[in-house]
Amino acid sequence: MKAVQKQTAIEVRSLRKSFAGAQGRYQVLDGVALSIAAGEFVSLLGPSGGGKSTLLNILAGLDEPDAGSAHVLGHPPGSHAPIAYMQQKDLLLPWRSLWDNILIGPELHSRAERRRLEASARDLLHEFGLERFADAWPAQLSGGMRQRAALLRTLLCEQPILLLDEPFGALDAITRGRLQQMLLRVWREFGKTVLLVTHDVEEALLLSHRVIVLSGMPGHVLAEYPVPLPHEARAESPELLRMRGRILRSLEGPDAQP
Amino acid sequence: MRSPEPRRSLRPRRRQHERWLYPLLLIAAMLAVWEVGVRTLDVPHYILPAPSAVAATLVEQRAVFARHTGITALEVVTGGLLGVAVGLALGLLLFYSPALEKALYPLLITSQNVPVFAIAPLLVVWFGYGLWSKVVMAAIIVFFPITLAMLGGLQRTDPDQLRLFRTMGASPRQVLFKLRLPSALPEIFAGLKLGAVYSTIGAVIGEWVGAGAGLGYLMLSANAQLRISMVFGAILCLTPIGLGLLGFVTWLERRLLPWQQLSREDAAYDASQL
Repeated sequence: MKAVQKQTAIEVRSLRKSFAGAQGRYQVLDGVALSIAAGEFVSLLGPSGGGKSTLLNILAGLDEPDAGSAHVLGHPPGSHAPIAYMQQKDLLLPWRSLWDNILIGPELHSRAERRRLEASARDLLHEFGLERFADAWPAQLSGGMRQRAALLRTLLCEQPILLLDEPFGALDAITRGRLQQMLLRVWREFGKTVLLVTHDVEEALLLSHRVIVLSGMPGHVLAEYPVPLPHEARAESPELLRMRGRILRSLEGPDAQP
Repeated sequence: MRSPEPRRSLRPRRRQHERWLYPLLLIAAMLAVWEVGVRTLDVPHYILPAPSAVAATLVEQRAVFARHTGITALEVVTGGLLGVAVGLALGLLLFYSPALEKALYPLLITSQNVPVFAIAPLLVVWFGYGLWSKVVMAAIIVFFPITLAMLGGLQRTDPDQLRLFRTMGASPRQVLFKLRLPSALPEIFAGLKLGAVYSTIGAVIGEWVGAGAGLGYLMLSANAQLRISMVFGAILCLTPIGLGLLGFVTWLERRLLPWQQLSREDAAYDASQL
């Protein structure tokens, strides 16, 4: 584990991306550079429309950059990159039970792979408090349950790197808090690398080793804030409150808005 | 844990028989008015026979009705299946070949503006007086809504779910069978229900234009002989064919898509259980 942690999980260099819009092309990412070590938990903060999702899409191999490079564990992104991507919507398939939904990743790999992971799926289901709902249809589940199921599905893809795009954005504060704790537990237990996109400064500060702030359009890295405190000491820490203020100011600064 | 059995019945039983009771009462009332009306006004049987006379004809001529109903049912089912098979295959083909879709789609739409009655005589010339001209007629009417349903269903896959499958490394085959087809099923079933109704229409039109047997043929010949109770009998024999097909498709839909039956109220678990 120690040796793995020194490895670079995600390496992005002078990444540029533009999209065609109503008033010509607009630049979404303009020279984004960042590096994330294996086992690190990094949050990406920024104003909406700042290209955070575009960055994740590029890392997931869903979008091509115009210029610059992106590497995931030393390889260019693609359909076989070692990443699991959780998008903003839960994207549960309505015709599959919760159980069959969370096992879709290994099932797409092979039947044997699915069988191999059923035991750990059962354990995780229990840990996430969903074992009673294994046979339920997604339409029978609350928003929080669906989001937990989506997180389970992401974990059961068994990839070392998790890309999470505002996974808890649409949830109420209490549910969000519980899911954040679950994510933290899972990250510790399995030693994953996490890149979390969020617009919630508290969430970023509570969960990550490092907070990267992106500017608004076109997006580039404004600042990086290492969070030096252990996770247990973070709630209501005055140090964290000061950081929160600094991050909010940098987000509101003249450079941040489009 | 494997089979996703719903935890409770999706429709309460009590509602089930209420759904049947009221229409049955209405039908009984209408039959009574008809019977009394025909008797008191002394309507001639060659204009409008009383329901009791139709029932008597049905019983007396049951062998005749059974034979013709069997023939029509065979045409309807065979034609319907053929139309469904062609429609599903064509929908899939058009989905995977945009060039073919561009070329064929306007033609398909135009062809639907030609009244089926116009081509029915041609089908008799090409396929003869027997079973096949009716089967083809039914298939021609059925395939079109099925093609549209299949194509539309496959095209409307959630793009975010497609992206999810891509990041999970799904093959094109897996995308078709595990994502596109299942999400197209509700639309395909809507098409199948139309097909179930259309298939009967197609077979009867085929029989009207040229046939030696079947309920359509029976209606025409009885009509010509002013045996109106026979016409009514044939109509009565026709309805269960279409209703039966529709019932079968609905049953299949409930079986294959139980998750579709869940309404908002059935969302059994709420946030309080978190």
